[in-house]
Amino acid sequence: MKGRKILVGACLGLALALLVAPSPARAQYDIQDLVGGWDFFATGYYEVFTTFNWGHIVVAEDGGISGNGAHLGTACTYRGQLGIDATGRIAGQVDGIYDGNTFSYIVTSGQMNPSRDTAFGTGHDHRFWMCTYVWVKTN
Amino acid sequence: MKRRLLALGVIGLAALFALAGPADAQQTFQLSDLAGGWDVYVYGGYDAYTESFFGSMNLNEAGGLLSGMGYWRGTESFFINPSQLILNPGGDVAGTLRCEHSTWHLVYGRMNQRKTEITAMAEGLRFFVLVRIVKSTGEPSDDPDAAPPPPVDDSPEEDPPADDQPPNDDDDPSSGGGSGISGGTWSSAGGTR
Repeated sequence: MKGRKILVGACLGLALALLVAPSPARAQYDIQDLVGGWDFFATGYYEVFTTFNWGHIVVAEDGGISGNGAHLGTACTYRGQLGIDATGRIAGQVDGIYDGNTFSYIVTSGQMNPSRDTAFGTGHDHRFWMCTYVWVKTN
Repeated sequence: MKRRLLALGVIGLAALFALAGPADAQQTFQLSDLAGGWDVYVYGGYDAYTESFFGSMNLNEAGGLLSGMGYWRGTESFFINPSQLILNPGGDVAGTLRCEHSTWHLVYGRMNQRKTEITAMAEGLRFFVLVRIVKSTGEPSDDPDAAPPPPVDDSPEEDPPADDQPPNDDDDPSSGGGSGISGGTWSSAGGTR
């Protein structure tokens, strides 16, 4: 009788824990995995042309982007939109303004890692120079 | 008896949390997170010139270089001192890495939350390059279960080049065309075409 009650108590505790504890290997991604602060890195190269960008972006609940960084070494502010599907694929674009000019980095194929702290992507900028992107979670 | 059941439930809950580990917790970084073996990847392009490197290095608890080697544009190249990475509590990474053929000044870098990867933009030999530094074991420095980093032969077999000029530069039409980097301040020439 005593052993049975212990077993029931242990099972109750386990069931409660499974209900409230986040699974370490969640299969599905959603926008909440994108929401928050990220450091953004972009580099691109086409024939003799180069583009590069780095900075800190904040992704809002609707996927909208804000933040500050450097485009071609000059201070910039970010805007744009990113989205993520259930498999972790990322698409959208990181736009910005620098020194009175605008730029766009179009993300055609991105993927978030299972830890949800880093994502990689490829695409092109507004001049169609092929680019590589990295996002690293900051919070 | 109800009290016993409650206690058992709490114990079960605590055990599961302990097994699952902290979830989505805000990380605090420390310099010793840099210690251990890292694989290094560098890529950048400017004009008709590209800079690439892959290799591995060992860092001490203070982020200083212990040893390492790799291939710079396909040529064997050992990491040399002074090379030093700096990591602040927020996860920002800066510092300088040097190999026999190039120097990379990290201008904006970030360690990931698992403390297993560093991504940075750096000033390379002629232009900005993307730097990726990945923990060789795949596990953070303070993980006692992590395997030790692979041994790195730190005794160069060949003499380094006589000067700082790249050995493979003969086919580089951009030689003498300027690096675009001047005194640590980027010049917009060539970057906005």
